[in-house]
Amino acid sequence: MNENEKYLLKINNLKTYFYTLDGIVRAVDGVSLTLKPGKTMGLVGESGCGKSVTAHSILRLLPLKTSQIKEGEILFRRRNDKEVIDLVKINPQGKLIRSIRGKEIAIIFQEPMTSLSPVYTVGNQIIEAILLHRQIEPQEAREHAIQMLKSVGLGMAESMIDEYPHRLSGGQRQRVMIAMALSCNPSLLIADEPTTALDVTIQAQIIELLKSLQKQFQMAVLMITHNLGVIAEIADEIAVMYLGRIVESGSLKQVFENPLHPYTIGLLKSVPIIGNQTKKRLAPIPGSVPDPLSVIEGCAFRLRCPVYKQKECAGQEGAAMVEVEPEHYVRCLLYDRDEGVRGNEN
Amino acid sequence: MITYIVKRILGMIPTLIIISIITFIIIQLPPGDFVTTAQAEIAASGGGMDASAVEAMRIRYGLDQPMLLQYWRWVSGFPRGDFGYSLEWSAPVWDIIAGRLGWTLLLSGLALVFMWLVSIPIGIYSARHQYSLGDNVFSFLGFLGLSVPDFMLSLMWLVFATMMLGISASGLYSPQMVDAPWSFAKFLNLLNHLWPPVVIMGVVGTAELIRIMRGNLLDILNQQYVTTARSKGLVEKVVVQKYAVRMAINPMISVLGMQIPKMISSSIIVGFVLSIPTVGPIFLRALITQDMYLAGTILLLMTVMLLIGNFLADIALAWVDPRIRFE
Repeated sequence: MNENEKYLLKINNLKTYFYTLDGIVRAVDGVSLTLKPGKTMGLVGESGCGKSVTAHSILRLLPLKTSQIKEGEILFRRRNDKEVIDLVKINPQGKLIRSIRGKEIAIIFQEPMTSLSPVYTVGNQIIEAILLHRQIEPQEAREHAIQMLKSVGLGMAESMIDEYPHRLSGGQRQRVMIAMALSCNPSLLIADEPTTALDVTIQAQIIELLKSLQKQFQMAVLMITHNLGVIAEIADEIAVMYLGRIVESGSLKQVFENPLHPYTIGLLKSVPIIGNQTKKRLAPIPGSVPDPLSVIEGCAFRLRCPVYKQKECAGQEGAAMVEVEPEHYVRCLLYDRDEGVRGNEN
Repeated sequence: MITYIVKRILGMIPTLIIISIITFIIIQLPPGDFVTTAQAEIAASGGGMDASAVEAMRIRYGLDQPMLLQYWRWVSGFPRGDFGYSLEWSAPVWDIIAGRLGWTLLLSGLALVFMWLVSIPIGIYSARHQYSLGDNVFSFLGFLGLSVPDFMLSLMWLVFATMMLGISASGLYSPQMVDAPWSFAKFLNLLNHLWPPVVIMGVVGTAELIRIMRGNLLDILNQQYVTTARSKGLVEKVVVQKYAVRMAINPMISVLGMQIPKMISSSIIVGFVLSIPTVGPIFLRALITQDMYLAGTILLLMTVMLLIGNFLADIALAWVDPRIRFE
């Protein structure tokens, strides 16, 4: 990897734990990610693997009482002075993180129906964000909000700005959320399953919209989803996450054409292909996600892995990330050359 | 909004008619009538009435007429402000209760205000400091308030004020002030007699409202739009006040409507124990003597107050919640 290449966001060995009455949940257990400016990273994984917790950790939006970032760093390059700060070290309620939220890193959520407060108009909620981060007059902010609503494809922006969210459809609300997120021109947009709650035609529209806005606003996007179709549409790079760890990462082409980790292979196999009229059943991944409270030694996927080798995979540490081809990493003993245990040797 | 209000007002009319009928039937339900009770009281004091006198009394009061006619005689006067004639007090019902109704309204209203002013800040504190010492203390006090009945609190206050503090605790004024001309001192004296019943009436509801406010807010603090607000970069104080508390108030308004009947019945009991001239003592007496027009009118007016209270709560709710406003 070219060390000189500038990153926008770099997560190193992030560990975010939740402290529940039943014990510690290691929601994120050693995630490393690198986002380049202007690029889209797709973070894929099934429910409960820690995708959203990773996103919330970046913006420090996690509940203060029950969660803690145990380890790791989240390095973020600020916009103008190019200074790099570690988001893990700053006060989650302080001034610094508040000047980053909404202004440099914005987020949109899965549920557009509940993402907006029902008692304030759309305009109120967007203008509030604009006025917070920009020194402009309320009238100007209103103009800008209308402009933003138009740029997310809401034609009746002038009247819609005074509407309450319950009068809008799910797709319209998600567009409003995107308009609000982009209103201060962030350098990173985190999209936390933005299309999951929408129906398929609207999903496609929202993805198209995000793609065109990304070009227009020159921002990086961290697209969190369990939908591989969405990833294929929009991502430049992919990181596959399983039980709090990245198990494989690389460019879209590398991961889709040459998946290495048994989990990635399983994920890709379990996608239905429209028009495929064969009577073949989908190949699901056997088993289910282990209990979040349990601590699995070694490779977390070994319990469901089709090529599982008892002794090696159950080792204390598990595999390290290995670069199999340039910029294509995998965390699996099958490819761990340093250890000298290739899967086919035994 | 205006059509909504007009609709609600028109909707109250059939409700009122039905309530007046039910009220009248309930008042008539106990065996006997006012004359029987009067007869019994006279007999108890050693006197006697012969059959013809009893019959004459019945005819005079119209108690011999069919129930439907009696009902009609009662309700037909309402538009003129005539609520019938109290058989026991020999005076128009309205003259007897008008002043007392005012005190009932004042006490109930003040108790509602007290409940809100106390429970909302405490609810917010408790939710934001869940399971902290303060939260637990307030919860404990709240449950204590919830479990002690209002008449008990009234009695305890009477005993405490009279025996320990040596001040007058019943009535509206201290004995030496009752006949004094209006002055600032008398006004202060009135206030000193008003706050204990208000607090006593409010205690039970306050405990309930604290729990509701706390629960609402805890719920809402986990809502997505609160996270959205935070992710914009808003200060925590604004996030909590503008997005969370503002939403948690809405159910409090619906609950306010439900607290009104409790306040009214509480005003009867507390008024009775603390000798405050609410309609309470008179109502109780009217029920015992089967003074039907008086009892019926009080019951009916209580229901009207309840309806109006709920109506106001609904309007307030529509006013604060756009989702209802645009229905």
